[in-house]
Amino acid sequence: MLFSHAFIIFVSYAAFAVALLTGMLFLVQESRLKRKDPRVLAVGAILPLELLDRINLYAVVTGFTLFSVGMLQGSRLARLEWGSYFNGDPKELWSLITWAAYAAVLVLRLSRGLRGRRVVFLSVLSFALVLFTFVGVTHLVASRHAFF
Amino acid sequence: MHISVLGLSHHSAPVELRERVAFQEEKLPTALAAVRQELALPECVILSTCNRVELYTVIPERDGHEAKLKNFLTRFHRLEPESLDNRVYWHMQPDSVRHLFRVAAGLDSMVVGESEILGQVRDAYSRAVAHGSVGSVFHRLFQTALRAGKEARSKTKIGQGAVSISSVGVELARRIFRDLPSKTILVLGAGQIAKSTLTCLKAQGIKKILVANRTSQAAVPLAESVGGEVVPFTDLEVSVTRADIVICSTAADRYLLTQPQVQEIMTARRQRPLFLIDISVPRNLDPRIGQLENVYLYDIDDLEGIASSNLQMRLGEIQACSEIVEQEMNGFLSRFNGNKNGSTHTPAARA
Repeated sequence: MLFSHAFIIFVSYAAFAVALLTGMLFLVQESRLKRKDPRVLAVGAILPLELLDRINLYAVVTGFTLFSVGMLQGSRLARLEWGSYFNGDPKELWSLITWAAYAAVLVLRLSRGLRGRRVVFLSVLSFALVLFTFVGVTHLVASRHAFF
Repeated sequence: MHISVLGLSHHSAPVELRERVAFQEEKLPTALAAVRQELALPECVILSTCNRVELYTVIPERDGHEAKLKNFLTRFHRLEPESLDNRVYWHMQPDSVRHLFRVAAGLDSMVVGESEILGQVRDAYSRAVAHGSVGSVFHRLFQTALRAGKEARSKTKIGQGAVSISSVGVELARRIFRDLPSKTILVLGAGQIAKSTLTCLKAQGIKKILVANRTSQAAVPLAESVGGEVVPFTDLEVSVTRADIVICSTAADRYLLTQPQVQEIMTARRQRPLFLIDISVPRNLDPRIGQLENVYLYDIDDLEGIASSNLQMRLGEIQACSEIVEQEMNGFLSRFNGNKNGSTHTPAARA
């Protein structure tokens, strides 16, 4: 159970990383298009905006789903090991913030019908939270999570 | 035995003369046969495009053939003998070989590096082969020229980047949309650039085309020629909501669409990207539309700006490209001269 919890969370991070990458490509390409920068037609820039946007969305959906499952497993583990579903551990707290950030991306995208620059930017920004939860918390603040 | 070329191109002759000297496809066999029989020149390739007409021949001795070939051109096309004066160029080895290689590489083209010419050279060569006007010299010459042309394009950036307004439009569309053939184009007005942009986009596989024009007399023929649907000019919002790419080139003296209108349209489209090409002067689409999210608005200056920056890049490649051509030419000439002394080859005159 502990292994599965860590593994699923790890895979969700990988999906968020894909969202980060496609999101950054999208933002570069989109800003070149808007500024009418001739480099928009550069040989390397062949992935169309719509495709980058689509991969970005799928990656966020995948990452969010897995992350949610991982968090549920985590809270059940916490109940077994530490006595409560939520113990105020920094890892738990920052995971919740990260989860909320991606939830916001999806809510804006899917229910409000927003798409393009702003939502993609939010998905890129949210990866900072992933990094902090994944690496930052372990090294910067005391957490009961031994690793990861 | 010498390789020679007599020709005229956009560098040397105006279009009025070029079109009179051009060889129609159906006249080509007669012309090739005439060169072979009347002028007794066994090897001949005629390259005839809208920008150039060139006769490549293998001549037995250096003198006398320029006048004969010029004479042939004027007789064949029934021109006044003096109409070609100062309009044609005549090259012999090695300049004739260099010329062909440069033509094949696109270095002599009006739009430097354009790739169409390579196919035209290939066609000219294979037509001459089909009509029995190519022997061992021209087999080797044209095959080397075609290879050199390909090589120059793959090793340099001479053929890269869109350099016309319509091709820049298409390239931009390809950077925005994922599945281009499934998209819908709306054409407003029917200018020449709008038509050529539409043709280029159709070549990408787009099938759904909407045509709107103030007068249906103009819209109907255009819609018929491209297989499109005529839509009323009065409900532009409805049409733009359906379209993904809008090409606008009307003669209106006011904005046909304003920013608030397009904002509403984008909500109706659920923010699917919209690509607007405004090639009308004065502009027909409010420039502020371009500030909206997921809307990409390009006017004629924007497209020309990108086209000319690509052209600058191509011009910067001329040096490198010429060097490749020069290398290939020297390679060919040294093989050619080496062979000529050794063996006596007779051009195959299949008739």
